[in-house]
Amino acid sequence: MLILDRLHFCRREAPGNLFLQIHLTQHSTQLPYPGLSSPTLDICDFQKSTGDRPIINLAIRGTNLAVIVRYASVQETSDHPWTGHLSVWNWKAGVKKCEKLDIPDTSHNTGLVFLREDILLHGSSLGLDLSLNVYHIPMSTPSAVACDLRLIEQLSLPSLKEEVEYVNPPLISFVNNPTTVPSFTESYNPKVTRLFTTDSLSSILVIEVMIDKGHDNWIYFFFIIHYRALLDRADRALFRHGNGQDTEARSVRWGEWGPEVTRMFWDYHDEYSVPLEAACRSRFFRRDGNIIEVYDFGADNPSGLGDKQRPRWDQFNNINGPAFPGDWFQDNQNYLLYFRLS
Amino acid sequence: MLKEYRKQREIQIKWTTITHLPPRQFTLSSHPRSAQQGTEAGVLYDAPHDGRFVYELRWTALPLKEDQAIEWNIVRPSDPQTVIVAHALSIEENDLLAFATW
Repeated sequence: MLILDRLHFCRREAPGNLFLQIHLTQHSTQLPYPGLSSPTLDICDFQKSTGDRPIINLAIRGTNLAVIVRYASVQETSDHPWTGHLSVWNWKAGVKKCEKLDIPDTSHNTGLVFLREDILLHGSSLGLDLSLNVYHIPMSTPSAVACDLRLIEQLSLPSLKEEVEYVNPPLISFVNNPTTVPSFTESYNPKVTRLFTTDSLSSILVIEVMIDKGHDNWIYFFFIIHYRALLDRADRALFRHGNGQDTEARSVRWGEWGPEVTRMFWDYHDEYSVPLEAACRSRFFRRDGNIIEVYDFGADNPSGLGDKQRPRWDQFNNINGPAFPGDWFQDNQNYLLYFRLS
Repeated sequence: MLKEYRKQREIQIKWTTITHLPPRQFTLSSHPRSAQQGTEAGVLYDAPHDGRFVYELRWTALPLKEDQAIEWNIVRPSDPQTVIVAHALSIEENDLLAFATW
């Protein structure tokens, strides 16, 4: 394929090529990380064309470091003009554990987040269909050749309506709180606590879908879900793969998994009125000017079961935008995850 | 000081992880949040850029008081010609800052 002509997972010293390295630094000393055979990981070499550079994102949990390289396809199609390579490295050993090649995408989605050290979530879009790809990472490091990164489930987000107009295709990212995600050790020994990790699995993950309307106007959709809900799904998928019930990743429609365990907010603003969002444990914060809103997703109702009387979606208090979620998504269902506005 | 710094650099302080990317040449999106900061364990990160590229990362402990002076720690690749294109933190678990360069 033409794609593979541009990206090589070995060092090539061709003039003008881009060479992607990851530098591992000890945060407290600002020195190269001690005890490693090499403080750098050689990821790939990219044959640069005029006008484009790959887009990179990293995520770390435990000894696993995930890196995605997303770049414009040489052979552009209207369906997936972007392709991507996702690899996971044991950064302490300096070796690649597994990888997934040629991941198509309509946009330059690079959002990555670990649900657990062995479960990685990646947001992607194909046409109007948005999804969360759930990957399983093996615990052991292969002795010889890196294995395929295994996709175990694809969770669809609500599909956009065909008549939705945007300048650039939707982008999916995660507003997550990294300190609340457990490593293997913590998963099996939950009494281990750190500064912000007293109850990590009750924490929320915020999935952000951004749509560029042009003229410096953006529509944001925030899907808020507990890590626990996604991890439970991933564990069930792993079980099915383990006993042979599933041989390939299941695609799960939004209506089958999402509305019961999520709450959706939407937001609209231009470049001059950008609010700030953040998540910590079960709380979602939003600051707009001098107002800070705190949405608590768990203090009163740790089960996350929703109030069926609530409206289908929630709008931040001061929104005065042109869009309404019902005009955007094909699947307009009630979002039931409980929250309390503090 | 933090307010002043924010004003000077037109940055926004956002309590989030580094899932967004520093600005880069030929990025298709003109997303206003393309210059992102992030924090873990009370550390604020910034990726200053010259309009096209990021050559260094800066971080500081979050101030406790409004008028507290801020000292930025700076990390640069050993080769000054390389460009930082992504970074991620694992401070509490691994005392690790990882950043990617072209």
